[in-house]
Amino acid sequence: MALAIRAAYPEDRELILPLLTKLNPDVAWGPLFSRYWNVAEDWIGYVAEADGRAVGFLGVIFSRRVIDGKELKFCNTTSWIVDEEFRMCSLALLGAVMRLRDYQIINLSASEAVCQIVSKLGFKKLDSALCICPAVPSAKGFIRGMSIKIIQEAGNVRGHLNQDDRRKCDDHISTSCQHILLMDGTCYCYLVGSRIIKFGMPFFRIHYISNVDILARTIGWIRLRLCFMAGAIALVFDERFLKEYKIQLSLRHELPWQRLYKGDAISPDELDNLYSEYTVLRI
Amino acid sequence: MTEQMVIEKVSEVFEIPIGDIFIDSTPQTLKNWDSLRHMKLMIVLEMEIGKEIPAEQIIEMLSVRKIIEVVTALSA
Repeated sequence: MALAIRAAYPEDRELILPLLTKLNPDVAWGPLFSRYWNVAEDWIGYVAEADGRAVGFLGVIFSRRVIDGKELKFCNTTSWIVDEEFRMCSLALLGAVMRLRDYQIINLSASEAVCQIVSKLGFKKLDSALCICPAVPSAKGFIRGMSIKIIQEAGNVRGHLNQDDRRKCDDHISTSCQHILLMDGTCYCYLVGSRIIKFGMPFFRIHYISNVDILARTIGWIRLRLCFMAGAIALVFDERFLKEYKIQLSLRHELPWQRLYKGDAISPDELDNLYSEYTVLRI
Repeated sequence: MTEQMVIEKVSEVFEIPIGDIFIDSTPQTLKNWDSLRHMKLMIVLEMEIGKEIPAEQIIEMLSVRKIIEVVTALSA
C-alpha cells in the first residue's frame, strides 16, 4: 500500500472532509478549504493519502500580521487527525509544518497528546482558560459603560480604526465574524467576535479586543449590550485577553486543551485568535 | 552511544522485539512508531547522551539509521 504525504489544496475538499467529519461531525468544515487573506501560500494543510483515501490531515491557515511594526508570517495549525491504523504518518504531517521556515506557528486547540508531542519541539503554552461573562449587569463599569457609544457593522466600524485594526477588519470581512466598536470619547475598543452555539446555547465569542482597558472599565453595562446585540447569553473570550483585569460575576472555564505557539518574534500578550480556525469556522 | 544501544532503546520504547528492528526500519515498517512514542524515544535518548536533540532534527529522525546518525554525532 502506497502512503504519500503531500500539501493539501482546496480541491482536496471531498477527499479530506470524511476524515474531518470523523473528528467532529458537528462542525461545518467547509470554510477550512478556502484560501484567505491573499497570502502566497496556496495550500490549506497536509494530507496523508493511502490508496486514494485520506488517512491523515493537518490543516494550516496562513496569514501575514504586523507585530511591533514588523510583518510576520503566521501559520495557524488546526484539525490534526490520523486514522488509527496510520498513526505512523502523524509525525510526517507534523514534520511538514515544522519544516516551514520563518513562521510563527500557532495551535489554539491542542489536545493533551498533541501538547506532549509538540512541547518537545519547542512550542510554548499560551493559556487554557476562558472567561465567561454572562449577560447580567455588574457594578464595576456599569455607569461608565452607559456613556459608551457602540458602532456595529464592519462598514461603519472601519472608518474609525487605525491602520493596523483596519487591516484586521478588512481581512475578516469575508468571514462570518461580527465587528463592533466601543467608542469612549476619542478612544476606541475594536472587537471581533462570532455568535456560536455551545451546549445548545448561544454565546458571543470574542476573538480580538483591541483595547482591553476600555472593555474592562465599562464591562458592567457593555456585557449586557453586547449579549443583547449578538443574541447571546454570555460573552466568551480567552483569559489572557484580560491581562491583569478581573471581571465581576464572570466564570473561569478551564479548557480540556491548550493554546500553544512557537516563534521567537511573538509573545503571548500579542496573540489574539484572529486569522485562525475560530474566525473561519464557527466553533 | 553505540548502534546496538540505540536499537535497544527503540525496542524498549516501541515495545517491539529487538529482532524485528532493522537499520532501515521506519514508522511505516515498525508498528507502534507513532508521534507520541517518537517523542518518548527522543527523551530517553536525550537522557542517555546527556544532550538535547534539536527540534529540527527530531522531526527528521524517521528511520533507525537516521536516529543512530544523529545520536552518534551528538554523543561524540
